[in-house]
Amino acid sequence: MILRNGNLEDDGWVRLGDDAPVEGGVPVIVSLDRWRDDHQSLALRSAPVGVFLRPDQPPTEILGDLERLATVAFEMPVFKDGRVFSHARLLRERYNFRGDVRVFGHVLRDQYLFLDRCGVNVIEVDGPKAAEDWASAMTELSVVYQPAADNRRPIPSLRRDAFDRAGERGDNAKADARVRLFSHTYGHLSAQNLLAEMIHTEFAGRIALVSSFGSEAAILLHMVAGIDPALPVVLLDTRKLFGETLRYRDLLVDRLGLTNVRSEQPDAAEVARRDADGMLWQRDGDACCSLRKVEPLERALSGVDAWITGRKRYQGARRAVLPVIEASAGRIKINPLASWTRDLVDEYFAEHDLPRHPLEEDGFRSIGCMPCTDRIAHGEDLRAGRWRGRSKMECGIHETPASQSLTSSGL
Amino acid sequence: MYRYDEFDHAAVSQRVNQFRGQVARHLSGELSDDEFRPLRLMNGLYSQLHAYMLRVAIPYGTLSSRQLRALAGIARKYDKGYAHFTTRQNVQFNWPTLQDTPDILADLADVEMHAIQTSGNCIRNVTADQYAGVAVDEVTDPRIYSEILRQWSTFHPEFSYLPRKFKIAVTASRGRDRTAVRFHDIGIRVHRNNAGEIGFEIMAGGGLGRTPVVAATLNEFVPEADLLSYCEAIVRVYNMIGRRDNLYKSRIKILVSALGAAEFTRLVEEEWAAIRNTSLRLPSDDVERIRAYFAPPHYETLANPPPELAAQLEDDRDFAAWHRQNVARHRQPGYAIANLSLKPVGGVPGDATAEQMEAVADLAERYSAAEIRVTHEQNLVLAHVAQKDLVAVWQGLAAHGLASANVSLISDVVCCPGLDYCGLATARSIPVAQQISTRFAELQKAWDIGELRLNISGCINACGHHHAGHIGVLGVDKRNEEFYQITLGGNGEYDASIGEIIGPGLPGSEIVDAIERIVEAYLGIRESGERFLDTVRRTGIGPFKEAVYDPPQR
Ligand code: HEM
Ligand code: SF4
Ligand code: SF4
Repeated sequence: MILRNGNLEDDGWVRLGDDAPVEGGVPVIVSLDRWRDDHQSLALRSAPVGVFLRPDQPPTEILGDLERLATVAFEMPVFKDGRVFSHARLLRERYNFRGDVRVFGHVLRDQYLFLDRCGVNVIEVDGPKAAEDWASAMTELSVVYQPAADNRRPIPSLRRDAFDRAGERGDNAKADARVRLFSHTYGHLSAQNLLAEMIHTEFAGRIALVSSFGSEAAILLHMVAGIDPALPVVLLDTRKLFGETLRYRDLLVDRLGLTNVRSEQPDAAEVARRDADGMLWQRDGDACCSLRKVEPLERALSGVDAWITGRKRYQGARRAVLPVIEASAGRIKINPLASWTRDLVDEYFAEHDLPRHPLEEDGFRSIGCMPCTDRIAHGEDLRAGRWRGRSKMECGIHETPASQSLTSSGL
Repeated sequence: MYRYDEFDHAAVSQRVNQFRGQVARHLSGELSDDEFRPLRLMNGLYSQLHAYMLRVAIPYGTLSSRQLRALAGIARKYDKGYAHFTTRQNVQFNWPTLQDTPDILADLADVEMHAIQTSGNCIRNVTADQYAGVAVDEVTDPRIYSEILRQWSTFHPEFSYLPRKFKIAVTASRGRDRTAVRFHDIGIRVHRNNAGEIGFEIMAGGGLGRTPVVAATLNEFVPEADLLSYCEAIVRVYNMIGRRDNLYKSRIKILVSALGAAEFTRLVEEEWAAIRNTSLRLPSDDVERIRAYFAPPHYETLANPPPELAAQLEDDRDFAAWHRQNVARHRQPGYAIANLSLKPVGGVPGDATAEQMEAVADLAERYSAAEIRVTHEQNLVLAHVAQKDLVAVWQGLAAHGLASANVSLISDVVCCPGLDYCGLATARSIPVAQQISTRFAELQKAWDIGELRLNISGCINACGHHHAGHIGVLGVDKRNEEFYQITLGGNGEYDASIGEIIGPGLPGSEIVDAIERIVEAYLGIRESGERFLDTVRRTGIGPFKEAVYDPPQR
C-alpha cells in the first residue's frame, strides 16, 4: 500500500530485483544499476518506469534520465539516514522533477511532515492506520519557518504581509523606512544612550560629529568624549570664524581629551576663484556658504554614513519640528539634542562645569561666521542674529525637508 | 529581547502537543525505544545514568527574569531544587520523569522557552556573545543573527536527521571572542567591510570531542542578505556527503579535514550559487524588524564613575575584590556588566538552586533591566547594572553565595557533569573541580596567577571543553581506576588553539598537586605581562612537563 499525498491506495508499482524478469504492462521501479544496464529495453515498454536510489546515490546520477522516469524512489534503510531529505529537495527544486517522488524502507510516521515538505508525495506503508497518522502529522505543526519544496508559506513571508498591512511600511523611500525603524528602535533613548548606540554599534567607524564649536557645542563634545574620544569631530572652518571660536575649540579639545578634531577649510583655489576679495558673503550669501560650508562638509563626510548635529527645536521656528533621527542626502543625520530645552542646556553646562563660548557674554547666542553673526535682543529667536536683515535662514547643510518646513510668517 | 509573536507561540505549543503524543505512544509500546530515541532527543530529553535529563535552550544566552523564575519553578516542582548551566547556553534538569516532561515543556512554552533541538542530530541552540548589546567592542548585536538562524533552523525539514549534531555560534566582537566561535560546526563572526556593510566571516568544521579541530574560514565576507543561503549550502553539503558509517567520524569537522578546507569551500560555494537568489535571501527590513527586538533598555544619564564608588571600594575589600574581578566595562557611561560566578569554592560548577535563580531574577528586576545572560563558561551575567547600584547587587549576590570574585581565574573551572550523572563518562569531573577551586581559593594568590582558564571533561566527548582550556583536564579510565590527563595551551578565542598533552595520565589523588606544580612553574618563568597561556605559547610544554613528572628535589 502507499500513501499518495496522504491518500491510501493500492500500490500499482512493482519494485523489481536486479535479476527478476520484467512482466509486460506493469509499472516497475528498478535499481540504478539495473536501469543503467537495461534502460533501453525498459524504456521500450508501454508501462511507466521508475528508478530507486540508495542513500549514497544522489539524484545527480539520473539527471539525464529524468524525462523518461515517472517515479524516482528513495530507499531509507534506516530512518536516521537523512540524506533522502536533501535528495528529494534537489530533485524537486533544482531539477524540477514533476513525477512521483517516493520513499520506502524504515520511515517513521514522525517524518511524514518533513518528507512532505521536501517534496516526497508517495510513501510505502504497511496498513490503513498510516492514513490517520499522515493526517495528524500534517496538522501537528502548522507553521514553518523556512522555505522548502512545498508551498507552505514560511513565517518570515507571513510576517512581511502582516507588517505591510499594519501600514508601517507604506511606499516611502528606503531611507525613510530605515529612519522609521531606527526611530522605533532608538527613539526612546536619552541623548547619551542614543549616541553610544550610534557610535559603538549602528555606525561604528562610519559616523562623525559636526560641531560649530559655538555656544552650545560643548554639550555634545562632552558626551562624545565620554563614549569615544577618537570619534571624528568636524569643524567647518570657513576662514570667516571668530578667533574666539578657534580658541574655544582648542580649550575644549584640551579639556575633554578629544583626539580626532578636524578643521575642514574651503578649498584655497576655489576661494581664490570664487571669492577673491572675501566679500562674497555680502553679494551672495548662499554662494558663500556653499563655497565655505556645504562643499567642505561634503568632503569631510565622505566615507561617513551618519553624522551627529547639535541642532535643537527651540533654536528657532525653522527647527521647531526637528526629528531626532532623519535621512539627509543619503546619510542619516542624528540630532540627539533635538528636544532639549534651554534649561536642560544650562543645567548640563553647570553640572559638568563646562566653559562657555567667550562671545556669549557679549550677547551672541548662535555663533557662526564673523560677518554674518550678530547679537540677538532679549526674546528674539536664537538664530535671529544670523544673516540679520537678510531672508537667509539656513546655510544649506541643514536643508529642512519641504514637507516639514514652517515659515516664520506662519507663526 | 526577542518576544514570540503569534507564529512562534503556535510553533512551540504545537511542538509540546506533538511530543505529548509521542510520549504516550512510547509508553503504550507503539514506539520502540530506538524509534522514540531521536524524537525525545530532538526535544531535549536524554537518558542519563540515574534518570532522564532535560536540556532547555537559552537562545543566545539571554533570559528574562520571568523566564529564570520559571526555570526555578521547574527545578522545584519537577526536579530536586536545582539546575545546571552548561557550556552552550543551555540549562539542564537532572531528575525529571518521562511522564512529567510534556508538562515541563508546556510550562516552558508559557514563558517563551523550549527544549527543541537541544540534542539529536540536528541544528542545536544557536549561541552568541553573552555581552551582546552591551560590549564595548562589538560591531552590532550578534543576537539578531542568532535569532534569525534559530528560526531558520527550527523544524528544518531537510536538516533534522543529519549525520551528527550541528552547532552554530555567532560573535560580533572586534576584541576578544566570548563564544568559542572556532570550535563550532559553523562559526560566524559579524563584521563590516570597507563600505561599512554588515557581513560575516563564515568558519566551518570546528569542534572538540575526540578529534579537536579549529574551524577553517570558508569565506571572509558573506553579505548579510546571504546568511541563510550560505548556511543552508554548508549543511546541505554536509548532510549529503558527511560520513554516516562511524559515529566518531560523522561530525562536519571530519568531512572538512578529509576534503581540505579549499575543496569543501568549493563544494559549498557551488551549492550556494544555486540557492543564493531564492527566497532564502534575507531582506534588510526583516533584519531590522528583528533588530528592533534587541533595542537597548532605557538607561539613565549617570556619572561615570559615580562619585561614591571610590569610597565604597575603599571601605569594603570584599566588594573591591569582586568589582575588580567580576565587573566588566559597559558601553553605556555610568553602567557596568556584572558577572555572577557559579563557581563557589568547593561547589559544583554551573549549578544553581531554585532559591539562587529567584534571587538573581529579583536582582535583575531591581537593577538590571529584568534580564539575565548565561555564559559558555557556566556563569551568569547582569548586563545593565548602574555602577551606583553595584554595591547593592553585590550584597544581594553575597547573601545567596553568588558573589565569588573569581571570574576567569583558575578557580572559575568549567566542568561537565562527569561520572556523577553522565552515562558516557569514564571518570568523575565535579570532585576534581571542587578540589581545584578549594586549593586555589585564596584570592590574592589567584590574582597573582591571573587569567587562567581551566576546563575539565569526564570523557573524551569534551563537554567541558578541556581541549580549549589553558589547562585542560580529561578524565580517563585505566583498569577501572580514574586517571586524568593534562593538556596545556588550549584556547577558545579567535586565536584558537588545542591543548597539548603533557604526558601520561595521573591518578585522581595526584591531579591537584600536579596542577599546582604547573602553576608554580608558570609563576617562576613568566615574563612581565604574560598570562599563563602566553607563557605556555612562548616556552612550550617543556618546563611544565618537567615540573609535573620530574620536579626538582627539595
Ligand atoms: C550657513 C549655513 C550654516 C552652516 C553651514 C552651519 C553649520 C553648522 C554646523 C556645522 C554646526 C555644528 C553642528 C551642529 O552642532 O549642528 C552648526 C551648529 C549650529 N548652528 Fe549652524 N550652520 C549654518 C547656519 C546656521 C544658522 C543660520 C543658525 C542660526 C541663526 C545656526 C545656528 C546653529 C546653532 C545654534 C548651532 C548649534 C551650536 C552649538 O552646538 O553650540 N546655524 N551649524
Ligand atoms: S556664514 Fe557668511 S561668511 Fe560664513 S560662509 Fe556663510 S555667508 Fe560666508
Ligand atoms: S564530557 Fe563525557 S562525561 Fe562529560 S558530560 Fe560530556 S559525555 Fe559526559
